Amino acid sequence: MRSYIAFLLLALFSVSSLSAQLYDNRSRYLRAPYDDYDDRYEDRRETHHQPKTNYRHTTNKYRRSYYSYHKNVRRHTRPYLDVDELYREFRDPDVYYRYKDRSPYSNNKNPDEPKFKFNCYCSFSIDIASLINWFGSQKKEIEKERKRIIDGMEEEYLKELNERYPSYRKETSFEKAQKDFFKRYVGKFNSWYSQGEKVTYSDYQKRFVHKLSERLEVFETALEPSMASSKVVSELKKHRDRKANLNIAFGDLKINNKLVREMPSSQYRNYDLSYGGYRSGVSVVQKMVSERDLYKHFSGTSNNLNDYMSQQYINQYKKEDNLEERFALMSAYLVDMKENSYRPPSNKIPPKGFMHHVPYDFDDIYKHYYKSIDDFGINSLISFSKAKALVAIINYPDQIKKILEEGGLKGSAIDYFKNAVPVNYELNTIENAVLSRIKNQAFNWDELKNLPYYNHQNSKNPEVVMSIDLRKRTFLNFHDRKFFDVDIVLNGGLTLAEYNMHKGIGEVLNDLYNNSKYWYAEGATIRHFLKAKGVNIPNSLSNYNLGKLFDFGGGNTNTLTIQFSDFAKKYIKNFHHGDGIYGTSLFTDIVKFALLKLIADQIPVDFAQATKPCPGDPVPNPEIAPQKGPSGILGGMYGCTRYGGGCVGQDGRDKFHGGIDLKANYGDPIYAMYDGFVYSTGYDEEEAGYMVLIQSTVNGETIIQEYFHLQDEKRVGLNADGTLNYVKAGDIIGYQGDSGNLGNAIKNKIAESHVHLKIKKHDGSNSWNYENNFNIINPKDYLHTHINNDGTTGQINNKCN
Amino acid sequence: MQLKLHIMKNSIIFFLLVCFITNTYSQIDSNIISKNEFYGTTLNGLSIDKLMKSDGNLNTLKNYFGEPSESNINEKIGLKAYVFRGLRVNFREGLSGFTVLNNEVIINLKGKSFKIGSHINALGHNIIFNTTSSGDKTIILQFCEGCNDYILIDFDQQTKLIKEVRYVILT
Repeated sequence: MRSYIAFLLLALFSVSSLSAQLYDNRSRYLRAPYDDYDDRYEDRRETHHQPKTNYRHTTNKYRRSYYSYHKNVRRHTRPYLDVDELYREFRDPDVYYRYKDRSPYSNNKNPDEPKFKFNCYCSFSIDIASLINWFGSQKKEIEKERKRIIDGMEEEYLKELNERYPSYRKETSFEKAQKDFFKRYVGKFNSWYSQGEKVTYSDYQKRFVHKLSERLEVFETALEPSMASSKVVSELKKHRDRKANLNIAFGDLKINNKLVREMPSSQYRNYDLSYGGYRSGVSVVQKMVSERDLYKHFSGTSNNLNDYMSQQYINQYKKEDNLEERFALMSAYLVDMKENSYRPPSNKIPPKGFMHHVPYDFDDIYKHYYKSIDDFGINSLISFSKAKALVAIINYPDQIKKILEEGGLKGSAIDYFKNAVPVNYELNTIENAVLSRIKNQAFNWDELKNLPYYNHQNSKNPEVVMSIDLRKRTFLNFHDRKFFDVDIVLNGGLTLAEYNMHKGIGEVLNDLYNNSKYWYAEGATIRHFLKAKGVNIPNSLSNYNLGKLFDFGGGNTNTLTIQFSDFAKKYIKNFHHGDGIYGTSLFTDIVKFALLKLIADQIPVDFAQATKPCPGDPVPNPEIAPQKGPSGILGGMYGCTRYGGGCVGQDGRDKFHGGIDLKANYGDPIYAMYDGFVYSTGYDEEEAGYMVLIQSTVNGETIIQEYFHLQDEKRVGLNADGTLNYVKAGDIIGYQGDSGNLGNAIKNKIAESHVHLKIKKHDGSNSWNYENNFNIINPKDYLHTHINNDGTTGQINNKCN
Repeated sequence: MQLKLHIMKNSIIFFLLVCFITNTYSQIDSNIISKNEFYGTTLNGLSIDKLMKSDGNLNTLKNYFGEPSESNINEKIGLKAYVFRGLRVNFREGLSGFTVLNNEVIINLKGKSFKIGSHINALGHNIIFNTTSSGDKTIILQFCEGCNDYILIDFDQQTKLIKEVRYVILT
């Protein structure tokens, strides 16, 4: 009898321990319920008029998220059985796909893979639905075990909580606080943590859960080896075999012994099977309210930047109606938009991704979004987001600096900085600026602190120099679907929905800021419009730098505006404008602000001198200006490179070109290649236009350099007394124009702006007749910068050695 | 795989877009005539071919255009520039180009005579127009696509009356 009782006790212990173990480690074994999920999910989507979405069309974001998700769910899933929660948490298709794609238990190639899998290390995977059903009756035992583990942690937990949050301790009894905290927030933290982002109080939470998981590992190690031959496993195998004939599949989970599919959806609280998320916004609002309550408890005592920022957020909006709802919708929208790579621009299609539970209604989002504009003016959202980051910088410069410096330029510190702002959208520009300046060792916190963050684009007396309706653009129309389709691929996941949501070119441009092509385009556009106003920007200020220096306005409008602000007018100098002083709204970017400050504090930046070409080059970084049409870039080279007869060249080219064409925009300064005397300054209206000829001695040989298509004014000329004017290499000898046949060719789109460089070398005789004793040679050989035979520019050597 | 297909699809779209734009923005609309017709175009009976071969010989030019009203001979840079009645022509190491200035020069192109002030219909009815960067229409004649030399006929956009004829050799 005694042995019988002992056997029974042993058996009971084994079963209860094993059941607890199985559940505690359930996340390891999750996979089977979804093996047949593909088709069912797709069917359901179709039923609800949702397009099929390829969930494998994921970006790296998803894959990165998976790692975080997988890692943390495995470690930190709460160790008690909550069927409802399990179902809610793991039936999410995105979670499923992320899990399935990366799970070591997955086998995508074989959909019939057994749902139980054993190996020689005695680990196994298991159908969670089967597990739940089979162990349904063991729930009490599992709960008991969970409580035992939690209780074991209680003392430590109490101590830590008391130390970290003394004010909390004072306000309420610890027991109640602990219970409330655990119930209300640990689950939430787990959820956040599993999302791989938005980890607030993560340090505390990680320490707590990590210790919990350490105990579980020990527990697991002790029992696992016996499982392979246990009765439990054999029962599971039987169950698996039975299941194959019972037509039990996903969706047939039981809760309280009732099939989920037979329940009214109301029994899942707010969870809606057909929709795939919470139907009501109440739950989201409640979450946000809870979050605020949390901050309320800890504010004033915590050093956590999140606390502070959240409080700032709350303070700013506390007088606003429907705060919670707006907060929730905005946050959800912004986070979700950041998380997802693409979403059809429909206002009724529920989103996928982490924030799927948000009552995502585009109309609603629009309503709230535009309400913010009505309340706070155009760009309010953008400005507000930036303002939050700036508030952090201003109030916590040391902390942020430390974070950034300690983390270098790598992820965690930057992530933390981003997390310091609850809604970190629009932070990119500032973040990049900060990183850029750190790289350049030009990070000035005092300067950042002084950076205005509100209405910083305002100017009392701006001069609008350009205003265009972007909808009239023929290419790169920002609302053109094709553009976005392309851009999604090229720019790593910019979303059409994101653009459509904002409908603001400012948003688009902000994203494009990350692309250097954008800066070139912006600079080129500014140059174009300034030229139309009679402002000639020298080529030494490249389009790229021009784009960086200046900025577009715009915001939530289809109108793109360039305006020169008062502040910019005051400080930008030597800009080759008739009035001399111009700039534009430089305040939208810290980099621009820094540049402006540099100019203001130190010396005026002479753009012309800043990028003076090396001796031997008539323009900085010379590039061949290609011929339009079949001659192409080779047509801009010297020799038999064009078409039209008279010589024999390669590839059927049969027209001689007596020089090289180098790109130069109208107004760009043209520099003397070599020291020498001004030989002549002629004018050939039909061809060369205004030209400058300089005679130099190079390597003991006399050459004449001829520069065509200049402007008449400001050309270097002969001295008034008739003596020869001597120029040094690098001196400006004139400015690019469109004289001669160039202007007409540009107008008719046959050529682009260029300086034609021709070089004639003396034949060494005693005669010096221009036509008879100077022979045309290839100017390429005299350039400092190497031009390849295919017309491309070789490596640029700015050291001028 | 589907992601790759998606990228591929968009890459193709992008490629086609680039091709379209490149094509749109780089091509001029010119009237291609034969080389003989091109160089056989005459100014007061002097063909472009002969004008080129004259190399600026004033006596030759006088035969067709009379005494020049302006001359600019700059031997230092090899420039010979003349303005005759209705024609400006420059030579510098060969013909630089010319511009017909007024109706005193009769131009004959492919057997069709016209002058400054003529309606563009004088050129025929199958003319291809080029669109300039400002949106105006012009007429360009070449003997091959992308040829370095071309004849440019500019006309009043409203009245369609020819106001300038140029011969251009791109530099």
